[in-house]
Amino acid sequence: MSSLLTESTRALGLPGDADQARVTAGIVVIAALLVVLVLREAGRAELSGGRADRVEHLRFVALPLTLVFADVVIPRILALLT
Amino acid sequence: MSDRAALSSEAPRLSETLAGTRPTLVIAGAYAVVIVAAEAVAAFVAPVPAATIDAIVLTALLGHYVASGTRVYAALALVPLLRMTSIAVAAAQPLSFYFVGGIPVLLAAVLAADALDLPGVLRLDQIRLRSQWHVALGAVALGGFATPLLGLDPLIGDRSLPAVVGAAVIVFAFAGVLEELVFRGILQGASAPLLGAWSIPAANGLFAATYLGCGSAAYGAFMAAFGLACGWWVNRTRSLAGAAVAHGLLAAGLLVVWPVLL
Repeated sequence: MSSLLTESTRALGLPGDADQARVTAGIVVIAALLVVLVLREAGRAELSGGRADRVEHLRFVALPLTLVFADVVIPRILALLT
Repeated sequence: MSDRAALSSEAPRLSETLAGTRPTLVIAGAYAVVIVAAEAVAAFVAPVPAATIDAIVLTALLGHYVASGTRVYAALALVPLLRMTSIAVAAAQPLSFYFVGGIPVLLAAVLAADALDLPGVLRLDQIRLRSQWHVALGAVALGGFATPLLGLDPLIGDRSLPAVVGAAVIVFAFAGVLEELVFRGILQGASAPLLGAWSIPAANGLFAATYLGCGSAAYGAFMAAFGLACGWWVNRTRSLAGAAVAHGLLAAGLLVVWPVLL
């Protein structure tokens, strides 16, 4: 057990009742990724100076969320294709 | 002057530290309270509401960081990111979970260290300094003493040497070093200019909150105390290397190696 792996996240990984919760959590992550990407693109267009630099720094959240997005979506696409 | 006297003379009073930064501290404190509440929801209620709270807090923190430039808001964003990742990529196998869930958080910590101008966080090569590797080795012995007292179940069922070594390496990286990068490296490092030495308990409070769902009060309390010691050591030596390796060795010992050996 650690910060990353807790009892509740371990239970979510088990097949069965947790599927629905896992899908919903994945949708929440995708929504957060969309908001971050919109924030970045809007900031690039509207901001300048230090704020524009900080908008570029948001990749420290955008890239990891993209990886999580891929981890959530790719298995489902593969499941549909097979 | 002794080290202790030097430290006590350098450590500012809380009221002095807070002067001039009170609005930022109030806002950051409010965010921290919501993050701790989300951790409690994840541990004791349900993970999806917690992920929703975390998503809202994450986007608010990022907006606040862009608008104000205050680094502590961006640093705080790593905690909801960690929890959202752990909920969304939940897997049945702990080791595959650590790997798949740990990579995005590790990437976030490395990018955040660069974005927030905290390059010293990534200087894990400083483990070669005596002050760092001594404390790291001490964690091995601490794990051996603590394992029978905490009574943790081993993370893996396979007791073959390759399985134990592989599991220990994954836990070392993603349960130990990763947590130190996030909590002592980024969070404590970014809040130190605002809070001074008070950044140690502040960052450790969030660290302890992420252990609310660990399933063992004794283990959670033990890790909270260990985190506090790590924070103190990082603050004292100005290096994360010893604490990161110590935490990695302790986690690998507690969760993988010692339960197999003892």
